[in-house]
Amino acid sequence: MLSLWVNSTVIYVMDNLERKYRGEIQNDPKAELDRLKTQLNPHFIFNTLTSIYALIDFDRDQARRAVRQLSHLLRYVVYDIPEATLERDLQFTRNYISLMKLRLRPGDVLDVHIGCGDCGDLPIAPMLFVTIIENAFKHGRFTDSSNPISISITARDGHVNCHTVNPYTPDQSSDAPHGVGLFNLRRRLQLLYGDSAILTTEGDGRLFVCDLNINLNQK
Amino acid sequence: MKKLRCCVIDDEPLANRLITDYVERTPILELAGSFGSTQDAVKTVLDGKIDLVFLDIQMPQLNGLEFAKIIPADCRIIFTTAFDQYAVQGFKVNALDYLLKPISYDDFLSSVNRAVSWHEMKCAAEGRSTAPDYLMVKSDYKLLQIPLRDILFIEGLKDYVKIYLTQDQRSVMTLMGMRTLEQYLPESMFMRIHRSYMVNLHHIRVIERNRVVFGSHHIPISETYRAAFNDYISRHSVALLRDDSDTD
Repeated sequence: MLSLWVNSTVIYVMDNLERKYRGEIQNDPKAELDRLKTQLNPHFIFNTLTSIYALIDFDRDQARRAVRQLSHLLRYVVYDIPEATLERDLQFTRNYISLMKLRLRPGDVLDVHIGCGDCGDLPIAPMLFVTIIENAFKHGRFTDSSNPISISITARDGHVNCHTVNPYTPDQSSDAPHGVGLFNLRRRLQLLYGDSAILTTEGDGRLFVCDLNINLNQK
Repeated sequence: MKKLRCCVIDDEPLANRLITDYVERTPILELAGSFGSTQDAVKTVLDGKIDLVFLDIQMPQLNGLEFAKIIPADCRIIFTTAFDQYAVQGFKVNALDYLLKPISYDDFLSSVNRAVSWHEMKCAAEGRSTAPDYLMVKSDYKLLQIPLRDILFIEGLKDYVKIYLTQDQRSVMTLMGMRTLEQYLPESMFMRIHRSYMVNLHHIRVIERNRVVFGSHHIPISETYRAAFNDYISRHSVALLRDDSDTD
């Protein structure tokens, strides 16, 4: 129920956004579908609720913190997206990471640096970084490597950079281990920013590096 | 009742910890291991004499549904998942139950109750089938192992019993009363037909005028045991049933 509600709300909000950033409406149903897939993964919400449910037994203070973070995060997704600025989006991203941290295992190491520099007030298409971060967690969480999952988002002079490094185990059954999510992100970036956004990914079989540069000064 | 040995497999540390905690506070359950991935659990599940596995579905690499296929058949699975899209599939791999997260202790207990009734049934079935299929007897200062299927019939003689075997009309004498020996033999296989005789039902070939014929031996069916014996015969007799219907 919640996921449907969030998704449909998000589709509506995203429509407004695409208009705002592109000045046109995408009527292609395929594009609609892809847009839907770029949204907050419902699995994230359900897994987070499950973690919080357990925390109520083990650490009430942390459970309270997590409920607040989830509430901020949902508020951003449901209400605040049309007014997304880099600062707000990075606050959302921090909440997202905090909640993802609940799902790390004792051996997992996380290294996060996030700052909006002098670009906090610049408008930005919302939730662009989440796909990248979700991937870093998904693949970095279960390798025995001592390498940390590293997430860095910095901004300067209207240019924002998101850089993640995570250990990973190449999936032999698929030649695109970080497939669908990043593919959809790429399409969305192309639609929103055209040549002003550059997403590069590289895996050497041990570490996976994802790098996103966006020029927010566009237009 | 014997405790059920359990494994918890869930990659989400807090979800895992909660189920593990539930297992530990449930007296009928014994925690054999708690694992963050299916790979880590393989060894314990395959040779740890596990009765019950709480198995998360959505896990990286080998997921719960794939893992379920290699779990031994005498070990039951309760799937735990935050998403219900796998529910139907879950039952296809013969899950005992399926719990949607977040899981309350009440929901957990009702699944455990199902596991307990299944386990009781399993134990009862094993109790019947684990009776040894041979007999150890002392004869002439030697200890002999006699497969039950090799016994034709047994004759009681004062303080001895004489066990007639299928091979070469051999027999073994041992110091033991009929009544004592009877306790070691499965009812489904041996039947008393006389104060002094017990026969292996599997080896009966000919019955003639209230006598069971084993080669040159004619074993009398005494009055006391006749009703029970005839009942057994009629339950297994195709010919008698057909005769009945023909006469109608």
